[in-house]
Amino acid sequence: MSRRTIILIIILIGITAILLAIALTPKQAPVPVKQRPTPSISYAQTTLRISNNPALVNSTSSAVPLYSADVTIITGDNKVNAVQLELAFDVARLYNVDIKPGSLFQNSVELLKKVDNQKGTISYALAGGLGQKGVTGGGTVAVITFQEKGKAGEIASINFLPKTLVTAQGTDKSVLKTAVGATFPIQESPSRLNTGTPSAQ
Amino acid sequence: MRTFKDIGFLMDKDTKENSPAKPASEPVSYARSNNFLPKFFDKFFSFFTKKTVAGLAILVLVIGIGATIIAVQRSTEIRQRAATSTYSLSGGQGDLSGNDKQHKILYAWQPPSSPGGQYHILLVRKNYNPEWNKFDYRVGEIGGLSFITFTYGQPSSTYKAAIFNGLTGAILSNVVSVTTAATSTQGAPDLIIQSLTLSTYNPTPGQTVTTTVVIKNQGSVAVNSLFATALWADRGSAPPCNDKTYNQRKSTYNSLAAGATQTLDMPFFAPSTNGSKTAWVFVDDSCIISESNEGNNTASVNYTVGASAINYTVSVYVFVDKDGDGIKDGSTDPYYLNATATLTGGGLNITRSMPNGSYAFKVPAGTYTITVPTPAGYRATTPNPTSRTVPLDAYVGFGIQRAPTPTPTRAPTRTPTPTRTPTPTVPPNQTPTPTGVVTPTPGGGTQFALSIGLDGIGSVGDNATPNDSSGSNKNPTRTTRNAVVQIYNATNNLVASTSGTVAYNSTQGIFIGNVSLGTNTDIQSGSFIVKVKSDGYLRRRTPGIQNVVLGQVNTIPQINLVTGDINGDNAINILDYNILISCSIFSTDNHATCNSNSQYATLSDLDDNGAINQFDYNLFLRELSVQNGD
Repeated sequence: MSRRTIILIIILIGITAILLAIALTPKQAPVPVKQRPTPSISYAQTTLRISNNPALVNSTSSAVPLYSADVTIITGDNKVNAVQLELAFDVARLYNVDIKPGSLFQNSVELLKKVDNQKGTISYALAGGLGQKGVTGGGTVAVITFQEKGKAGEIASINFLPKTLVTAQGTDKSVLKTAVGATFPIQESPSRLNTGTPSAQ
Repeated sequence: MRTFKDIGFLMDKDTKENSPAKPASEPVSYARSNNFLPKFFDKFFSFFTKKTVAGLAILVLVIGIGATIIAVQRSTEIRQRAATSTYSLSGGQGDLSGNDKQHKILYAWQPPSSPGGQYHILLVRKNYNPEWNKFDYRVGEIGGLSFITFTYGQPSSTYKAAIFNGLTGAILSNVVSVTTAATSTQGAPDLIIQSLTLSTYNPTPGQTVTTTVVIKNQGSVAVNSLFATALWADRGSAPPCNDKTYNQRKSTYNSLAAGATQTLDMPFFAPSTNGSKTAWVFVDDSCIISESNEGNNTASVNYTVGASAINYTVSVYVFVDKDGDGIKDGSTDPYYLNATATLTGGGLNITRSMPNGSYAFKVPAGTYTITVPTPAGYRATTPNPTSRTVPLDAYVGFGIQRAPTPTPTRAPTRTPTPTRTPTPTVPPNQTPTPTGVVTPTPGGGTQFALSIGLDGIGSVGDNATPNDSSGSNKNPTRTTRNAVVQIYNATNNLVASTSGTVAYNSTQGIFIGNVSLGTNTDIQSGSFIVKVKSDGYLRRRTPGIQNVVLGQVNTIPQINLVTGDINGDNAINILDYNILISCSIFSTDNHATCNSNSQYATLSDLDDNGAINQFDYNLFLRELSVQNGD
């Protein structure tokens, strides 16, 4: 062979060796994760919340105003099919308390409804209609209506009790992660305002 | 040295020698004069010999293989990266805005590609904590920039955060370090033990002591996170965070408003040794809640475990164990009469005869050794002697079995003799009942005669209209049910519990049966509160106070049990509703929830007619007004 042929062969062998070295060199192991998460994953992702800003339902001058506070839900990935609200409210500030279904469930069914205006408790269970699949996302579970008493500016509250539950498809446990109650100031009542014309003596 | 010209000559020569004869009118070079490629190859091959070409071909082949390996590896690596490293955390910050938030940390991540439906979670741990499972939040499968928040955590603390594959545990992102903000200027919760009282401050060893704990959030911000309160029956100093040696831990809340209190009943068993003890209670014992004062979460109370004035009972009995399994098989294995038992330990050494087959030693709490000499002609089928610690384990049964006689004894002779085959004097199938053995009442001792009506079955209606059984199932498929009887003393402490079976009486339309409390108990005859429960039903207290007489059959007034407690937590709520729907014909989850427990389908058939349908649904709704058992 000529010298040029030998040089060419040497060059090709060199290239081959480089390529083989690249191919066969073990890759650097990825930085090991020292801790791995325990597979105890919480499937409770649902949050309940009572609005801190009650809305005025009516405002006729002759009646004590009626307010409403929405109970809203954010389900995360839970497919919620029933909600049981166990609530406590301040009887010194709120009266004529009632609760009704929100728009979360279509064809909702009231499984349980107990409103005790003396003790200040509400037990209210609501579910979707039979055959309806669980709901994912957010919405209004229920609407609490009430009238206020006391001095303007005093604080009233509606709180969740520990027995509040949220159920979802695929699990026999409650998927409720967080429940946030409401605290709001008593509004000045029109009935307590001196808005009328002084009567003639 | 051979020149290129020489090589070309040789190449031409080889070609000529190996090629077949061709017509002169079709020379290769002329026929392809307008084609560049043949000319190139002609010239190319004219430079090299066959060996050179073969060598080059091998080299090209080797290079090709190497290049292919590299390409495959690169491709695999790219795919792995796409599958395992799709998130990029970009740090975080403390967020104290809003009156319902604690210390929140915001993260941003931007997945370069769709996660592909995998279950991804954000895990956070304290900087020094080796475990990642402190917090977990599911990451939404959203492309582009999003945010995750988590509550809990301590102020001014450093955390690590990363995103993991929730199924495999593989890390999917970089690990970032985040420091939470300082305590909010808006205030913080402050959990305290407002009061701590005991049902008795001078219990006997092992006695149930109920602790009444009143916790309070005296801070200015509500606690909206889960937390727990733990109790230690006796320890020398205040427990630290996350001390798992507690004796009782309960009542995790979803919220506790500012200024609100909560009362907990936390029973525990008094220590088995006499002396002064200190019980400790720790609210938020996991130290999850960020509080304005982290040093006022514990409280303690002193009490004295007195000298044991009330003795416990170690009940010893001897039975003829016919099948030799060491277990008394009801009346099949009768009591053996006239044995003796010796109890030693705690400074005691007592021997008593047992003319009726059993004896109850009255002893203080402690560990004792009991010995029963095996009667002549019998052999022991249970350990003898044996030890027991009261009050935890107060029953000792000694089994004996008729030994074959005569016992074959080999004669000490040097001369080998045929082996003697022992012939038992008692055939194996003969009952070796000793003379004088009597069979006590099945179950023996104190019994409770139960008459239980089950809602929706037989002659029982529902809770609201128990006497209207027009819609009830008169032919239940499960004609026997379990019944648990619990005995409470005047202070509503559970003192005894037993279970048995009741059977359906089609004539009366209720379930009837006797449940035995055994031959000896820790209670004496007297007045008690009796509660009854069966699987799928709420526990109910029998009306009034029951006069329980030991050693006799005590008739309990009929009670009706409310159905619908499918998950067995002694409450009827939407958890049971969810299971019922999943098990029913209205299921929308392909019975997934129902199948998570083998008992759910059985217990969801409230009227026990073999189908879970609208009748069970309606019965459940009627029963739901009774939310809790007694």
